[in-house]
Amino acid sequence: MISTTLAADTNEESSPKHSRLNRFFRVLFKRKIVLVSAVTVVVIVFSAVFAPLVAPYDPYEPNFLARLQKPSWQHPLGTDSLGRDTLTRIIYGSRASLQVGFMAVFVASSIGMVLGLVAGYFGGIINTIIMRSIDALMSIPMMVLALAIASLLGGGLLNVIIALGVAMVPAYARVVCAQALSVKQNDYVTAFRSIGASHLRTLMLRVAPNCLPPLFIVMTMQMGIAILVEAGLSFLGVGISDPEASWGSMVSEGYAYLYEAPFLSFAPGIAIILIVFSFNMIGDGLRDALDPKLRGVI
Amino acid sequence: MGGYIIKRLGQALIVVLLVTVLVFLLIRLLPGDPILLYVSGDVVSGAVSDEVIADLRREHGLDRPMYIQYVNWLWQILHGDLGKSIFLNDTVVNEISRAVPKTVMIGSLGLLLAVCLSIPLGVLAAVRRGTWIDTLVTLLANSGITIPVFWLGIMLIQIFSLQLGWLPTQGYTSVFDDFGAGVKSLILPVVCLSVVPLCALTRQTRSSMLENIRMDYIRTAWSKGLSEGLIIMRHALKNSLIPVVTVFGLMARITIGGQILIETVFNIPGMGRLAVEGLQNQDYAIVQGVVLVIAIIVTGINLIVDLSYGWLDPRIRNN
Repeated sequence: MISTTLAADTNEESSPKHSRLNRFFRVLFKRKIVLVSAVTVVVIVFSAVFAPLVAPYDPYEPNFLARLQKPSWQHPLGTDSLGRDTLTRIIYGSRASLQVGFMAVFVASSIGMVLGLVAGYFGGIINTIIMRSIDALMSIPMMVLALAIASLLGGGLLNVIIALGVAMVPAYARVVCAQALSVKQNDYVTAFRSIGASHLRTLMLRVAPNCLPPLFIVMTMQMGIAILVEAGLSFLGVGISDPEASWGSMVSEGYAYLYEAPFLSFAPGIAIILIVFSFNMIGDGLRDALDPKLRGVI
Repeated sequence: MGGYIIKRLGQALIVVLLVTVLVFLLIRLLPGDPILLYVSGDVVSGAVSDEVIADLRREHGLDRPMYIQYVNWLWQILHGDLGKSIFLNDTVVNEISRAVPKTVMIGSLGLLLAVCLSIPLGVLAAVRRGTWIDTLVTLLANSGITIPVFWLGIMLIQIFSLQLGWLPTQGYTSVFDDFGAGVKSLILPVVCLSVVPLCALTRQTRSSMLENIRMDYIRTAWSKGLSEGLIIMRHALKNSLIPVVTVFGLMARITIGGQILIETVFNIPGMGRLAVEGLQNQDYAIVQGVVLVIAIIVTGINLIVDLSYGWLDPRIRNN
């Protein structure tokens, strides 16, 4: 199916670059669910950026006359124990989730890319040292490692980003290392070396760019994982805590009032599922569009 | 096969040794002084002098240089001594050995449930590709892996404990003490923990089966006149299992991570709770012990996963 689309595209389009981009988007959005997910992410990002304009209430202002209300026309998702509007806090909570997601993935992929490139390109003892350390890091479950780092650093947005940034390194290092190992065997790499390019130049100009497609796919898929772990940390009280809005701590607060206001922890959980599902679907779509060979591998 | 096992075992030992370095450094390099935290209440009232603090530091070996602390710590571990908890007033080994059975029980039952359901579901979806069964299974599996496990726990408590009153809201009863109550207290945590591995394994079984079903040797099996059941179970499934086993290893790790959350939701005094409390108290010894034991369990599971590759694929063990 993919190859026939490719053939059709090259016939239609005169400029090869244009047709490649065209094909990329066509394959990416071939499944409707990917398109719906992309729209969902755009809407959530938009409402996070323009939260003060979109949200109906103030996220921090308590209103003790409207505590633990059921969903109504005034408060579509009810209110919390301080009378703050749940919908408003979910909109503001998306800021924490998205910031942690993007920044942690950025930190982890940068470190992982460097480690993976060096390990894969140089091989031998360097590879053994780096990858065995990565194995050791991986044998501590991400949730445990992130929890340990975040609580030792003391919680808060920045510390959660650092904790997740470190805890997620192994996934990137392994993918990039595997990719670099196979890329460096190509003739164009040998050719580049033989015209006198240094190791650093070869790594930056020939090997690294070819490791990017799988990296992008893993980055998208790890967005969802980062958001889930952030929610878990905030749920345990070592992530982002009151008065800042975070979906994880909202679920935790709702748990304390489960009997009086069951809706309180229900709504933020749905928000988490929605955004994680969307990022996963985009990741699947990207994988099909960038590198269908990776199906079942990533 | 013997050489393969020895090689993998050696690698696992190196990983465990690196983990000890990692855990040690992690705890020491990050801020927070357990002695000051321990006596903080008394410092304010002036009851603790600097000498007492120095004595405490010496008693716990925290006044020595880092590498000596590490070597001493490693030496103690090798003798089965993980140190003493500053807060819980018991040895770390005792604390952990009380917590491990609960965590292992819930975790292994969760994974077992996931495996038992996911492989038939994945095979069914692959064999009935494109039908409504496939669409439903795939949609459920894709949604299931996005559910935050702590939220699911709370929702299940809401439905089955508060609304219907069938199961206890919290706590853990050993099945060896009271079988009925034990089973009841296990149901919700086990179901919660099984959801993510169940969905991930279903997805992997399906996609890996789909790949193998198209292979030439499957057509050969058909043309030999074998029955559908035999072709699927003996030929397609066994060859599809390697990536599934890889995902199983990954899921075992995620399940242990998820248990921190689940044990908090259901108030189960397992390893996860112990880790969370240890971190809240900045209790070095407990945190080190728990993380180390978890890492050893994970490395053990990875070892079994690696060895099963050798069993599933002769090419791997002969290489």
